[in-house]
Amino acid sequence: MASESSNSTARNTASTGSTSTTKASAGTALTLTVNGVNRTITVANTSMPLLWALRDLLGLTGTKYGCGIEICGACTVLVNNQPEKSCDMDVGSAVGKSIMTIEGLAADVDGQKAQAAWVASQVPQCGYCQSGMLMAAVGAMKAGHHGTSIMSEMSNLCACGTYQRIRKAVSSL
Amino acid sequence: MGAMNNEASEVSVTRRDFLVRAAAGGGLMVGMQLPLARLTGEALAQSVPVQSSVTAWITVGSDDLITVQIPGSEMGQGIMTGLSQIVADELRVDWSRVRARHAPVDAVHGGANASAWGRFTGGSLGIRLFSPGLRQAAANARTLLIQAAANTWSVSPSACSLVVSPTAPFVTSVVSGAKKLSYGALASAAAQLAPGANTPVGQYPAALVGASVPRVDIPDKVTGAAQFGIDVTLPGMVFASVRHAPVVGGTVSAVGTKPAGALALVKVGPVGGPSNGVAVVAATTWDAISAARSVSVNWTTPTSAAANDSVAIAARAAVLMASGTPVVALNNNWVSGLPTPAVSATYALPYLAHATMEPLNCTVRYTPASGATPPLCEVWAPTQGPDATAATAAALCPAGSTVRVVNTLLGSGFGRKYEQDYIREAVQVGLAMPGVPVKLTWSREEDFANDQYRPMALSFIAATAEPAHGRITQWRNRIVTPSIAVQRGASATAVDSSAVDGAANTPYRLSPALIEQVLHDATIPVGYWRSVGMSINTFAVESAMDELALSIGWDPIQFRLANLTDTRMMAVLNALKTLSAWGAPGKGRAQGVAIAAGFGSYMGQVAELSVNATTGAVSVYRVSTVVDCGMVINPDLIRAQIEGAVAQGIATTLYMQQTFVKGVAQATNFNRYRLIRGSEMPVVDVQIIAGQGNPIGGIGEVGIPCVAPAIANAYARLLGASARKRSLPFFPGSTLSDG
Ligand code: FES
Ligand code: FES
Repeated sequence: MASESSNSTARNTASTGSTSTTKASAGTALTLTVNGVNRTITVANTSMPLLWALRDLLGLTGTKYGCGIEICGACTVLVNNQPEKSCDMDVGSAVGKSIMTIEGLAADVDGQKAQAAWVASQVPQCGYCQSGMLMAAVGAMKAGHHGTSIMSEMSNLCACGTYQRIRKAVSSL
Repeated sequence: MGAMNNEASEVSVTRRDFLVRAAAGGGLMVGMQLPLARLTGEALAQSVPVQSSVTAWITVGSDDLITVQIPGSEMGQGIMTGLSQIVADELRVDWSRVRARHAPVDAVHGGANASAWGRFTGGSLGIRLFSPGLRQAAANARTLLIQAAANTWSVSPSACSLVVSPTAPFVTSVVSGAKKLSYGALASAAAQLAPGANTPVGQYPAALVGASVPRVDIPDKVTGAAQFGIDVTLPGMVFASVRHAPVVGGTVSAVGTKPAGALALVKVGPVGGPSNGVAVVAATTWDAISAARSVSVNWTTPTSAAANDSVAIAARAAVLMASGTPVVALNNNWVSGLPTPAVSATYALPYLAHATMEPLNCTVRYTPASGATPPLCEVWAPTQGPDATAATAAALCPAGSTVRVVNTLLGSGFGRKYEQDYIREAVQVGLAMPGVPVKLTWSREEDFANDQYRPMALSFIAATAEPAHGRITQWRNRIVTPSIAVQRGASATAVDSSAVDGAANTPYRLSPALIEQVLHDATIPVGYWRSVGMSINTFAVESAMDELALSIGWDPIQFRLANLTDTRMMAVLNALKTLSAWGAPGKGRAQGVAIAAGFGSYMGQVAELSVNATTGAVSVYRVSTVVDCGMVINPDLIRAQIEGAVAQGIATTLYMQQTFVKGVAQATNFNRYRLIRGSEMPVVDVQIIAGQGNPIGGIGEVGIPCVAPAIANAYARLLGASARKRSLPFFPGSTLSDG
């Protein structure tokens, strides 16, 4: 269950770029601010969804692909503290904004609280939807919601059906 | 996975299967070859191997950390936690010292030498199959550690005992008088000892078994660190996606040129058959999905397209119900000339997609032969069948290739991730990209449109009950359904035990009774979906039970009790009456009950719901559940499985179905294949009847079958018998929009 280090991620990005030099040089360089760090990527098309830039170019695989059509919420990230479905946000439009992903949650006060509540309530089963769930919950907290009103802000889907525990987890937030 | 409702009879472990090795860093590794449970009767007919050379290892590190290699796949059911609890108890170690990971799939671990089925995770068998061997390995490791201490001190092992330090770091030590050495300190000496006889298990009272210890996999699942197959990242990796023939059974006739920006275009398909898809390799998954959509492909349309149409399939099912040739699954004193049945009803169920939250994916790095080094095929996959995955890769690679499989975490499986289609495609793409790691990801649309679906079914039940004692006096059930076994080569004239599971083996005393199966010949591919045949048959049987109760004016629970014989099933139902406050639903609500016995467990559920008078929408408030799954390993894991099954069960009752128009799947994303959202989740209260003296029962699937009939029964009670829903889902056209 080891996670890839950010080093291997960077290596991956670099080598992907070098195996398709013509493409990289024909692409557009963008700087994204993710979890407080500026990261520069080269994309062939700025309309590529932010989801895939995070996952495939920045190696931040905690953000998940579930549907690609803004239904499931697995890809939820915070953009300027607002929950956004990254499968439907052009990477180009994320430039200059502050993006927070699941990997940044441990450095955020609300994020830490939400993570602790998720562990205390033993929420995840397979866990695949839970990055999106947590980001949606933290987004609701940042918008001033508390307790079960967080749940009504969350439309994310969970195929494992962990909703009862999510309800319990957010009730303490 | 397979309809392994059959009990896993005891797994015997022999001494020659007991292995000891030194671990890196001065640790001890103890392994057991785990003969898969000797499944009897029907399960054998489904080609489950009687034995494979699966080996699991427990490592005792010099740092006093215990690592348990889990032979089953973690897909959210908690197998890593449950098996580790059993190991920790036998080793007498504190929970904080235990780590779990998937066992590697390679020759050392027996994986690559196993049969094509090899290890699998399904049939709610995980803990039942693997715990005897792991438990024995742990007991043997404990004996070796004690022996190592005894040798060091020149005392008899019987002069030694174990203590667990009551403060951090909670290590376990062997002590004798004033002498004391921790497991970690003894590990390397223990690794030099020759294995002796197996140590009897269960010599200590349970400390962790039976307790709701926290799951080992959860911490990484709230930080993004948990690595699913789709998250595999390798240096220099490129990305692929696939597009399949739009019509089920279609094949590639001609392909256009490689799209601009793509790195490769690869035809994929069954070994030895025509290609049924094209994969595109590109710089990102997004580029690959977009390019796969843009490739121009001429597809052949199979002649089956017209028949593989939901309207045609339903019409054909009705014809087969009336005039098909049945196979008798159960004949219990059936005689002709019985009185006309008091109740006769036909129930209909749709095809279901698995809709695993993590779409199908697999990563392959193929390194060609170099000098004397044979070709190497490395596969990273979220799979319920790691040995089958290794076999799939080996069959595609040049003879003599080394195959290595890494089984990642699964973003849910539900039976879909036992199949090999996505593995095969990834290997085919990997072989076309020698030296370059490629991650193949199916788009969600391809995932929905190319599933191996839970079969549709039409089930007719005709029965009578007598009002004096509430006894069923005749029962006939005919099921028309495609057969997973027949589609995979089994005889069409034999009973498919998975297709009649829950119908031919109800918990009721049924005599005279006749249960028949008629094969539906639609060629939409069908596969194992959580609880398999029980997901179909329990809906029909338990709906009919309520219709029968009503026909003689009996309370549904009393009527069921009058027809049961198994005391464990009766105890579940009696407990359920109390738990659900049966007979006292909230204002404007009704209750419905359903029970099932399967996977070695007993289950009863009561759903309480209301129906909006204007919109007709169903709100399920509460699902009370009583379960007896024998010996309890971790009550909280059981509760989680039931809660989740209720959520999935409600969605199958109200919304979920896959339909086809001339062979083309119609639900291709979650907007038209609706799961419930958090706002629709009822309160699920679970009472577990612990039976620590009974065998471990399955829990992954048994939560599913009762949900739909409990809801249908409550619905009919609320709105009247004439409003009863006999066809699933209740709301077939329902969609979800973004929210
Ligand atoms: S992947 Fe973005 S909402 Fe589903
Ligand atoms: S925990 Fe598996 S999809 Fe939500």
